Amino acid sequence: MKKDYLIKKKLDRMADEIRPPDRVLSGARRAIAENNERQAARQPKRFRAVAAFAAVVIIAVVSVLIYNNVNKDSPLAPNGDQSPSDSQQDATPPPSYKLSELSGRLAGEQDISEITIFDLGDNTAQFYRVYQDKKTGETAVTITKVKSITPQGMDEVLIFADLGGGLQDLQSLKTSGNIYQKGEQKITYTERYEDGEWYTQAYYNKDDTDYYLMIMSPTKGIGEYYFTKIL
Amino acid sequence: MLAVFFAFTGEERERINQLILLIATGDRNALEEFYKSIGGRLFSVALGLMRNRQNAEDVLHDSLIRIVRYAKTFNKGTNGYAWACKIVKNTALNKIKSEGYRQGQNIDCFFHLSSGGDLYEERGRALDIKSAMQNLSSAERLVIWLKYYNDMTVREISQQTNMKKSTVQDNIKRAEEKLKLLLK
Repeated sequence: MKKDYLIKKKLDRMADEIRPPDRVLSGARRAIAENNERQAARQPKRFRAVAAFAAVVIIAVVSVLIYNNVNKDSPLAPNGDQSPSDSQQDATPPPSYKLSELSGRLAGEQDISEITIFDLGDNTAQFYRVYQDKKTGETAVTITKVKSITPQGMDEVLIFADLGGGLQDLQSLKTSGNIYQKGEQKITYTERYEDGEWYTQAYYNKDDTDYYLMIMSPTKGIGEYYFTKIL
Repeated sequence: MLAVFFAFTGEERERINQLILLIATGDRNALEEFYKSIGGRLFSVALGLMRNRQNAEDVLHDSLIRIVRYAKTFNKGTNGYAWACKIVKNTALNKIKSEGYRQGQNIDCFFHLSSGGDLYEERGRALDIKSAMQNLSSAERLVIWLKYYNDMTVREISQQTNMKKSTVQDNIKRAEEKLKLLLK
């Protein structure tokens, strides 16, 4: 509907002169103060988390060194001789990798056959990354990042497709949490609230491929909405 | 989706976006400036939907909290003013649907504010449009408000006000003619 320029200009001006009472702003001021307090309180927690992580790394390194020393003296592997289980070593070990060990980049046209495109409704934008084995160049993992604008704010969905079947970083999602089922298809998931956002983490297997989901949203229970869209 | 119905210069638009990003970092002064810049316009959007001054103030109060809460999700490449208007609109509609707030019949409460010592400042610049609006009937004022502040189509205004589409069209036409004459 076309608007009259003069009327529009005058009404804009009238709106600019409206000053609702100061109390209207009180809640927002309090919300900002609470955000700042939470932010300040989070700093020492972060430090503690880093310290804990460093301790775990040190313990792991020391354990490996001790283990190697013990094995060096073991009669089962003297002077580099072959161990008794040659036949086991010949068998191909199951694939195993972490995302950090792969080579990641934004997906291009050449990757179109490997990336999965999800229809998650209107007002969404999708971005794709592929992670390849550094030696063979084969695509092991693809990540689809979806940003979706909703009336409540913005949802962010990360979908990891483990094409190589050896991704170790998110294994814990396979067993923990609740179960969502649609037909034969099951999704295991957890949901938690943190810093004003709902975080949903989920796992499912479809067509022999493991998929891991991470959803960040201001809306509680949004996971099930995306599960129905994805399956 | 709510369109951008107030014209801002590129610089103003950029400043509003910057303010939202600063609010996300916890800058209280940015919140004050944001409110000073577009608080009145956001209030107009709320008033168009609630048609009751008290309820519109409640909606604005809650919307500003949401703006603070969701500022970190704001995408800086988009239009900050439209984003804020959308939050106000959704907050108002949620209140009507889920909290049983009643929509008033018209926006006349705005024009019945006393000009001195009220909670609302009156600085004189907008007096001509304000008095021109008071020359319209209640129905004409409402349809103009919904068209210009809430960016509604004839169909949407008809649904909001329970007027026939043809009545809405007639009211808009008559009101615009009167206003143009009075504002000349």
